[in-house]
Amino acid sequence: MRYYQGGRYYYRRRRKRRRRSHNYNATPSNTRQYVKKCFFSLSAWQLVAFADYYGNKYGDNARRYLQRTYEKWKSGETGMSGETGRRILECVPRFLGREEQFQLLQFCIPSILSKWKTLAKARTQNIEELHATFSKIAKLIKESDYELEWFVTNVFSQEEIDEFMSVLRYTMLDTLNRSYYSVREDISFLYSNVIGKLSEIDASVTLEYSANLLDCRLQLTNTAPMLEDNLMQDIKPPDMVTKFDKEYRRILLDYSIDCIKHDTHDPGRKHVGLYDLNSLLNTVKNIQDHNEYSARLAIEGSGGDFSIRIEKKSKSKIAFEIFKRAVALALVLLVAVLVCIFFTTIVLALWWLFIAGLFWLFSQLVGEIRDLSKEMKEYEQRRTKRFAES
Amino acid sequence: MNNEEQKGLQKVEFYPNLPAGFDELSDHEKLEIVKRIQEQDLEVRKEVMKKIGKSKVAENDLYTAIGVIQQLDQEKKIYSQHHKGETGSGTYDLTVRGGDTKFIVPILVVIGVIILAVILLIALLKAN
Repeated sequence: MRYYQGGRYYYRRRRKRRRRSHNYNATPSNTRQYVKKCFFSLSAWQLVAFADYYGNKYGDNARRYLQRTYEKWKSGETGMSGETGRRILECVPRFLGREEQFQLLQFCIPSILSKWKTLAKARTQNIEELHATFSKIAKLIKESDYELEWFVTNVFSQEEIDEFMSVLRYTMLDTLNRSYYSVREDISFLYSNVIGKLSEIDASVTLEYSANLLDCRLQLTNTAPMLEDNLMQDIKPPDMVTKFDKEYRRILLDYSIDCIKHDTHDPGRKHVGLYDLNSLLNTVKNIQDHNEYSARLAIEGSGGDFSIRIEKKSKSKIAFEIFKRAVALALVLLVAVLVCIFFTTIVLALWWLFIAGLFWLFSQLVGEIRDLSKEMKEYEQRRTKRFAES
Repeated sequence: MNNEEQKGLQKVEFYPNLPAGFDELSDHEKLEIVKRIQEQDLEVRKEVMKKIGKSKVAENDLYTAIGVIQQLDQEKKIYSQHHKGETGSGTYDLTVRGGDTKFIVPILVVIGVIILAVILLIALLKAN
């Protein structure tokens, strides 16, 4: 390992290397593993070309170290340092085929989608503000800067990254638009089909709807809300100009086919949902009036999920519960009064005892003083009398 | 679509959601995609049929449950029945409580508590 030997120069390089290798460790593991796999699959002549490129970029020492250690890395006998790993990440993509290079870009999608999900996440939402919320998210998607991995920005050209981002933005905005449309359809279905049916039964009903994409619950109103027809008028598909155009077209086509599947599924989903609701309503209608029941039905909508809760309580049972609580309250009050009286009595008794004790003590002392004074007086009288007689 | 457009032969768009790039594909590729969509369509239909099947099973389970409840009502028993299952579109959860409407047991318990409280009160007053 002469390449990594000490000395001041190497010490500085090690420090610098440690800082830079942090980037390598921060790269998603799937990307690292994929690049390493590609690196160790290079044919003999590809490896020669790679070593030349590597040597031109990082110097002859680095090239010799690579050639010497390649087999040991491959067998796992020697581990790859962070600095070397970073260099491999930067150089290997240039020796890959178009599809393999594109795969590296695709590894960035989960982190971008996760950031987008965080942007889209909302808390409980008023249904009247649905359009405003979706518009706000659309604006955020259009304007937000997504920081890509250092590795992507170092390996791919700006044009390629821009195209990648424009395709992602297009699919994200279209998904948002479709989600708004689906939620709007679900709400319309709820007010036109579900609420009418629920009014046929004599029970308390709680309706909830949660929008999948926003991952939040919508607060429903008593009357059907007026929701705008469209979120965004037209979202233009991005222009494909780089060498990856075919891959992007394939992605967009797959996306469109998925959307068609979702749209085709929609009428069936509504039909099944209504069927399930009817079954449950018919069941609860057959339960006798004096019985209590609670029923919950979850229905999958197009852009979210409905939850319907029907609850019926027996009036006589509720009246009895009120009576029970009233008796309990009366008992609590009674006990409280008794405890108050008890303590008040004890305190009063103690007070009077203290006063009586004090009075007794006072009278005792006064009596003793009076007795002593009387004795003193009598003694003086007797003494005076004795002197007079003598 | 206005009235004027409805006259004569109209161009029918089978899959209006396809991206603009679809027209640039070769005939073979277009055919592949249309085939894929049709296969997907069949898959969706199959899935919907499965869901309908599940809903029918759930409906049947609910009918059976209501039969049991009606039977218990006839026998004037105190009961609490809980039924849970999967429907085609999601899940259901039904709990029914019924039976003795006179609530003899809880009433006796409450009366017992009141009597005990009164005894306690008298005992306390006497102690004072």
